[in-house]
Amino acid sequence: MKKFLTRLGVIIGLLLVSVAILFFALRPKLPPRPEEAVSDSEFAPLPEDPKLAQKEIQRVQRSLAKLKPASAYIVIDTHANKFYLRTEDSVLFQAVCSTGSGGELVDSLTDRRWVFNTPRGAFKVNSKQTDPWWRKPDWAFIEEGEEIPKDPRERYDPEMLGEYAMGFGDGYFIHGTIYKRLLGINVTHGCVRLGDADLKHVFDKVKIGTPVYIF
Amino acid sequence: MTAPILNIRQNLPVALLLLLISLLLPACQNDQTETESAKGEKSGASSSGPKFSQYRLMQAELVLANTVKPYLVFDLAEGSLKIKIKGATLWDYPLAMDPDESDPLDKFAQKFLGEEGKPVRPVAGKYLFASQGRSPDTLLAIVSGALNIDPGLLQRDIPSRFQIHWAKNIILDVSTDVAAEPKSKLKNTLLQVSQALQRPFGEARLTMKMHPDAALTFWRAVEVGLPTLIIPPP
Repeated sequence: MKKFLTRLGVIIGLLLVSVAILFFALRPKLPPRPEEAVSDSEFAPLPEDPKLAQKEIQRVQRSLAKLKPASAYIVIDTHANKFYLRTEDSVLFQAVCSTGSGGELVDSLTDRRWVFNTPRGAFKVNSKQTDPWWRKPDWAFIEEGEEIPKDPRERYDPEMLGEYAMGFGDGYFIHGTIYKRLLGINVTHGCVRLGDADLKHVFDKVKIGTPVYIF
Repeated sequence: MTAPILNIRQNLPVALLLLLISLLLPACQNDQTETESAKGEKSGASSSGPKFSQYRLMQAELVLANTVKPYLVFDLAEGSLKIKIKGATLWDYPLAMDPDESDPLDKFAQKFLGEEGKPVRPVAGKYLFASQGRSPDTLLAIVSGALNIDPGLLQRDIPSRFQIHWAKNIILDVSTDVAAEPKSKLKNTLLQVSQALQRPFGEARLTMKMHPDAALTFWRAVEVGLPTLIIPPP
């Protein structure tokens, strides 16, 4: 009986250890802690003198306020394909848009490579055009399996961008689309597409210099 | 005569149990190393008090806003979650906690700040329990075929439940009303067991519900390493 109990104990013990080993082997692991975003050296101490301390607080407040946009700004949420015109406190207008697909294109002849992402970060509206023509880049021909034209005039397409376009740098635009059923899906080559009525509304509201934040 | 405690053969189950406990215990302890290293690296701050805390928060946000990268603000004073860039709010959502499943806000803030009172921590990890595809596969098959793109790139998962971790024991647990199949039942269970064991040893957790659209953006936008600024409750 004693021998039996000892064996039973060993088996139970081994089972528990196996469960523990399995537990540690299989449980989801966190990645190693990333780098600190703000290091200690960036925190200056507040002066002891109350007047100087107040001045220092006001200086930091002013620096922070200077960075914030003074008027309405554009926000593009590439995750949910949403377009917002907003201020710090409220959303003034919102619409469904389409942003970059993240797809990749490689030109087999030259090995050139394109990744169709909408760039993320802080930009500004730097151009506004009515009835814009699209100057097709090389990838547009390669994607269609067409030869890249030698005559630059063959690159222009008057339909593709819709009635309005607002540039925000590096060849990226907020523009219209003929593929309205694809709004809300990540299908573009990096530009931001809006429906006709939404595009007109935004075009009328924004000025050159309006901040564009993309995340 | 042999003392009973030294009779290994007789006490093997007990020894194995002790071994098991010693294996489990380290997983349950707080981020000891983190706290110890924090003790050593005191910042050069010479002041304290609410004015200094406010100053430190502003300083931290200024450092984050001076970059071109987004950052997350856990505003427990105002009761909102914000994704910001250059000081401008890109996305915000009210923090409506589940009081039964959440720790008090000040406890969470204290844990987040740590002994050294650092208001910024990078996101250390995220975990998706279950999600549902947003676009029907049939539609994505047509679109991806026409564009010659992997349909997986076009799909956006609406999370049913997920967690954001700032350390092993600082957790935001978010769920939506979307019914979805678990990604891995086994991994989900193991994570839940490990967190249940760790909870009595000083875990800080906030649990909240989120609208599915907001959850989609939040889940995707919050990446490991994203700096998070916490504004403690008043």
